[in-house]
Amino acid sequence: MADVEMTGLETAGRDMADPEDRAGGLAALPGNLMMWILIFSELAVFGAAFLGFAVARVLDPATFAAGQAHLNGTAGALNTMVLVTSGYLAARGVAAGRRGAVPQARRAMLAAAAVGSVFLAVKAVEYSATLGAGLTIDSDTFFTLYFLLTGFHALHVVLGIVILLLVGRSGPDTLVENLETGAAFWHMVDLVWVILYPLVYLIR
Amino acid sequence: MACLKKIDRLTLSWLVLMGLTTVTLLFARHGDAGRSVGIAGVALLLALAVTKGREILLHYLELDHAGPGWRLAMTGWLVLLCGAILLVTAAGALGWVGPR
Repeated sequence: MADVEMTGLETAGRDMADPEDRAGGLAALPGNLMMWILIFSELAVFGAAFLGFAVARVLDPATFAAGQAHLNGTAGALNTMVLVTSGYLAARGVAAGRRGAVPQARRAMLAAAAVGSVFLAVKAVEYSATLGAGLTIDSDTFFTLYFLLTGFHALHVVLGIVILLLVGRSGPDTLVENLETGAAFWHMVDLVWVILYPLVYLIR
Repeated sequence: MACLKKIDRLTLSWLVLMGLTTVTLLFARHGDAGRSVGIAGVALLLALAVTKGREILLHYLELDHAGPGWRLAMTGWLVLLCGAILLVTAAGALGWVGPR
């Protein structure tokens, strides 16, 4: 990392900013500020829901243990690997965009979206197994919360894939900021899952 | 260590995330349905989640370049949430709170 003395002028080109060149405050966050406002509110909502799940389990441990035994913990771990790999590809796409390697950046976003769709395929297999065993959103408190939490998260995965595909098609003027913005949403989805997975699938 | 120096920080993060997820696989099998992982097991699983979340925050979301305020706020959210989950779960396991 070169020690270059920075002036205000050098940080003016926001779109092409390397992470090292960002100003402080709100401008220190990659991508569009509106996305970060969404990320903060999503983290608040998921945080409250996760705490609610933990409290509900303490109040009815037998139902939660019996319900959790029907889940496939290995599929959950596989999906964690899928999401962190997809997030890695998206982050590499952002880095490529900053270097000016536009085709590489677009390909990385496409790859991140493709890997992300594997998450949905695994989730579909899990849901069909649970529903096939007659366990639905009405079965008990565990399955109500399981389907609500994982379903709400899976909808974010769907939206994240759409966003990755859209930002990968941005024009040259807006490409870097859009890549940063789309990737930021995608990393939030990833972050939520690394807590959801142990909470719902593993802790008992 | 020499080979670790050749890979960039982002790739190292991805390897750490994959490695830590492999550790969670030890807890993934339900040999005896519903057998508790114990308070230590819960603490370990949540510590793994905090470590993974921190990698994502600092290196995927680039908060390592965003200054100490953002780092503290976001990792603080992660630690407080997982700490609260641990506290609630431990309170249940110790019988302080539970079904009436």
